[in-house]
Amino acid sequence: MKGVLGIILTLDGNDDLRGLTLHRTVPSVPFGSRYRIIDFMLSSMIGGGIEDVAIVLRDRYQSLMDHLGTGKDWDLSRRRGGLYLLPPHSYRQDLSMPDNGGALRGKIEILAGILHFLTHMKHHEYVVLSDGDLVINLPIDDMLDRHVQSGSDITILCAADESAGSGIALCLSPDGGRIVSIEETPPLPAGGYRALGVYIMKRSLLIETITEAISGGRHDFELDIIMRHFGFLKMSAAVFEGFFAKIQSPACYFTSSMRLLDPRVRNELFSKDRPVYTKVHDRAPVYYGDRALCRGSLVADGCVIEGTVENSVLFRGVQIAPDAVVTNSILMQGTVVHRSSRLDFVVADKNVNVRDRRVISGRAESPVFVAKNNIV
Amino acid sequence: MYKPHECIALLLAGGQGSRLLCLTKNMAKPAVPFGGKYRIIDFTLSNCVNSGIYTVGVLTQYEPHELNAYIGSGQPWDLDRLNGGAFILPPYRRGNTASEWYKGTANAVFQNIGFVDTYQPEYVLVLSGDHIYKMDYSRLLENHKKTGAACTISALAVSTEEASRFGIMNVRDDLSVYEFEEKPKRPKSNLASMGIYVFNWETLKKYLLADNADTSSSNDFGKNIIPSMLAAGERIRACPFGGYWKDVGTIESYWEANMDMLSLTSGLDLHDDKWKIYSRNSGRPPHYIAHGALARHCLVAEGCEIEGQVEMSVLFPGVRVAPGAHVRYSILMPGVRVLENAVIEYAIVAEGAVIGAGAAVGGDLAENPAPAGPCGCGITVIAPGVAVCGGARVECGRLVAENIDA
Repeated sequence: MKGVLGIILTLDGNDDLRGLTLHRTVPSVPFGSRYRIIDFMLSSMIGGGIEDVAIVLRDRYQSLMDHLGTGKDWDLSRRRGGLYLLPPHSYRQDLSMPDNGGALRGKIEILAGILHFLTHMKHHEYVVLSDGDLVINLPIDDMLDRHVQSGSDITILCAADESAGSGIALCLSPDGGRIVSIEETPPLPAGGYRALGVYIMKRSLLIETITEAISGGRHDFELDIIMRHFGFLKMSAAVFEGFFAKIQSPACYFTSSMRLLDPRVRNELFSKDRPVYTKVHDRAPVYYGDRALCRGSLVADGCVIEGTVENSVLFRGVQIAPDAVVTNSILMQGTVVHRSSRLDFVVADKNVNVRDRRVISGRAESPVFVAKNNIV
Repeated sequence: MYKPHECIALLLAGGQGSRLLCLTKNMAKPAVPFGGKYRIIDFTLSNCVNSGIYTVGVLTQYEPHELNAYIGSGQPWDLDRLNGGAFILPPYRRGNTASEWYKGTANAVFQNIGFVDTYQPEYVLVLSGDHIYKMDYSRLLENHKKTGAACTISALAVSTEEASRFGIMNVRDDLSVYEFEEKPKRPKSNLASMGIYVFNWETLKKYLLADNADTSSSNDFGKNIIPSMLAAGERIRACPFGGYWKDVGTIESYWEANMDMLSLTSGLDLHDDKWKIYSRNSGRPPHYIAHGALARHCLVAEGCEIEGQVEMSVLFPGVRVAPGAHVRYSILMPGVRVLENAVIEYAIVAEGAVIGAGAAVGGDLAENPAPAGPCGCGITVIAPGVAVCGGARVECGRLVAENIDA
């Protein structure tokens, strides 16, 4: 699809995933047994025909850069366009504007930092702008078509779902055709829709509104661009009814991950027509040993399962020794659970090593998070 | 000094592999799925790239489309390179001489002398694309350079009973070869040629040209080139190999090799990341084992949905096993669907086949001694895309190439 630029922002904003984001930002958090959160939006963009995607990096971006590489695994390593990794740019609109010493004031500041890049992308009429914390399989080509057909200035993706987090709330007309109002209220009003942080607009409009906002010292995208221009610019809502997850807290991370154990959710998220791409690791198929007992679980390549696994999500290369029992847990890449250990409601980051006969037990409301590379 | 094209590899992938029956009806043997995720050629290709050989000519001929599409630009094996890389080399129409199909392994290389000459290598590594093994070819090359041989042949010690199936090398104490016998009825040694050769390129070229001029030759390395070189007094060495190696040319050996991948002691560890086997990845989501399902002593690839019982089996990407179904000692290729309560034992079910509810395919070899079926062993084979209707019974050793309707 020519003329459309994808932009994914990677600042954590309101998201706080504690230990999971100690060395990485939310988009780089492993999710769903073999992916990272950014893979979903990135794949939606590619699946929608977008061939140029800019990832705007902010901090702790080593993890994301390592994951994305040249973009080859998303088919974005191209001679013409493809993946653009935009490093953080501390900007100063003019010398009289004080540089805030690194503290981020809002999405607008990030976008102001890439204004030069945006101005440079002359062949792209439209941009699809997205937050980096959204797990979704979004038919972007449909959303784009409708945006263009409707003649709107901005299309806002939204869902009638309280779990959509803390974004702005839209009130739509009964036929869903018109946005009646946009509010900043935390609880979703009855019949309200929560914006998911994905917007479509013309590149020129984005540049114009960002430039205007930053010169007025305004930094909040939702408040200072969307809400401020509501009534002056034509805005439409694109309502999404499928499975999605906006990962904004450890609890949300855990529950959303566990929802993938439902085949209906998996069918929606992993569609054959719009596959989800991720970095390829070239691992062997999973080996289940003689005494392996695996039930109700999602298991990625490279795992060696010789013990019991139930109701869990296992990432690539996880090893479960004989007599080990893992239940209701999420074990990230390379985690090893040795003999006779028991894990229940545990989220283990990459390369955790649980030695023999350890017991780690959390609860559904508060799983135990074990940090990356930790030896227990 | 690093010389990028010191040694290039030529991978013979043109054969029909007819003893794999319906598995190679529409694709060359090296493209046949193996080990739950791979294709047979992945082992040789990965060995090349792990050994530092980045220029690989793949000589195709029989039903090459699947193989050609699979290899593509060579990117999955890190063979998409500025200098060198993976190249598909089919037979071609020539300018001023008669064109012909590849008549034999040596003829295939002969017809590609031009390709090899562009790289001006000192050595050429001739490989076949239909063996399962992990090998560091740089060690073979080092051995070859050290002994100053004109040709080094990788050798496997085989049992006396098996020796008559191979090209056997009779060697002196220093492993120099003084005699080479193709499938001898009374083998004089147990050192079998693995079909892996390192040649000094200029020397090989001479013999290829001479061989081409010999109209009585079958243009085969084992039958013609090696014996000619020996007769002319060229130095030929055997280089022993101690790891797992399997020629998967028959239904039986193909099934056995897949089952070997389920053993932790076979000698070939697919999970050993120090020598990865690369392949084109399916990109499917991770597989799901349902409550009430069983996966025991098996290999399961991405995208599978297991709701039944799977034991001692190899499952490729996207296989679905419905509740109540039992799969034992079998190989289920990509996209196979096994419906409710079906039973599959000692079988190979090829790509996209569907086994209907309550159907029974194959059976325990111990209880059903191998009949003289087309497969020559007790393994039952369901051809690609075949639909076996619900309740059908397919006996051991049968090859099903057409749908079985009620």
